[in-house]
Amino acid sequence: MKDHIDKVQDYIDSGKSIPETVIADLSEKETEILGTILDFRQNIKQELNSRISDKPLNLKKNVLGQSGDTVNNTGSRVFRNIILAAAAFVILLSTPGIYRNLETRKLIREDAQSFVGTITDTAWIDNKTPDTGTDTEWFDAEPIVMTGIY
Amino acid sequence: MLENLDDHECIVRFKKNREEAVFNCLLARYRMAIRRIIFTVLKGGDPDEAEDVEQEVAIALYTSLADFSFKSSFKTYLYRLCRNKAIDHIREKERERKLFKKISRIDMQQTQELPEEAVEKEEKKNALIQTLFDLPEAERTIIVLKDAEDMSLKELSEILNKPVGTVKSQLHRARVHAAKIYMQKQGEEFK
Repeated sequence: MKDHIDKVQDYIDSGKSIPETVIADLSEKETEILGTILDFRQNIKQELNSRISDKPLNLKKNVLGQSGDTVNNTGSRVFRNIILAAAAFVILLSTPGIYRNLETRKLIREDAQSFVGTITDTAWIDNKTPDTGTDTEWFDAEPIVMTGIY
Repeated sequence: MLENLDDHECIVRFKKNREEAVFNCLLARYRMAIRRIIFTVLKGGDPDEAEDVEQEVAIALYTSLADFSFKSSFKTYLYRLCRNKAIDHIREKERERKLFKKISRIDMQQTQELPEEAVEKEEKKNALIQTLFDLPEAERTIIVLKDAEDMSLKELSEILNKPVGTVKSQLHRARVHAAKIYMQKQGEEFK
């Protein structure tokens, strides 16, 4: 049975007409199967077309950039994620460094305040800031006016 | 004017200037075939999903067309791309479904029953399409590529990456399988 059906399908696929002798050899069951295959073959395209739209595809603007370069595709998304992960890693690594740096600055500042206080014999006032709104800190002593020829 | 160019000429022109009009012309030429293949592999399904796959095909085509080497015909290349993208989409959906099921511990079968039932009722209106959907993916794709897209066995062997002889026997087997399911469905209808 398989041989007969295969033989007829060979004729179908090659576009040749099926000889009468081949048809004569087919059993009733084989004829029924082949009739169904031909029916299927004849209608499948039409049936599929009736279920799909023929409207042009509206290509998403983010699919093809205006310059024609592709953007936001899987490749660039993966690349972007790698960059973000690398940046996060660098920040993570540098955080203790930044912290140490801030601590050092604080110690230097305290040393400087103490040194200036010692040589000018003044006390440091933390909250006294100039009217300009800058964060410069001031001493409560009068400014030393330097005179003479330099 | 662009319509007069064959696939080869379109691709050569696209390689030169990446003209969007040429690309759109090529895409329009195969629009229905692309949709038939996606529809077949996805077993119909949600039209929005089918459109997503079509967009994926368009992106992949746009990015790869400039490097197209003409080793195979454009048609076989495009059809293989469509099939692969649709299969990728099914796998992705399946992964998402499994993940969602794991996270929410919701029995998805229950929540999915209703739309699926509705879809099935709609699909049963036509035995031919339902028969197609009852076949395994490889069988329904091979039937559509041969009988709807009228591809040669050689072209099929390029798309499916299998020898011509294998493709031929798979096609014959798939058609007989489809015919038997179809006849069974017809018989059920007449009962």
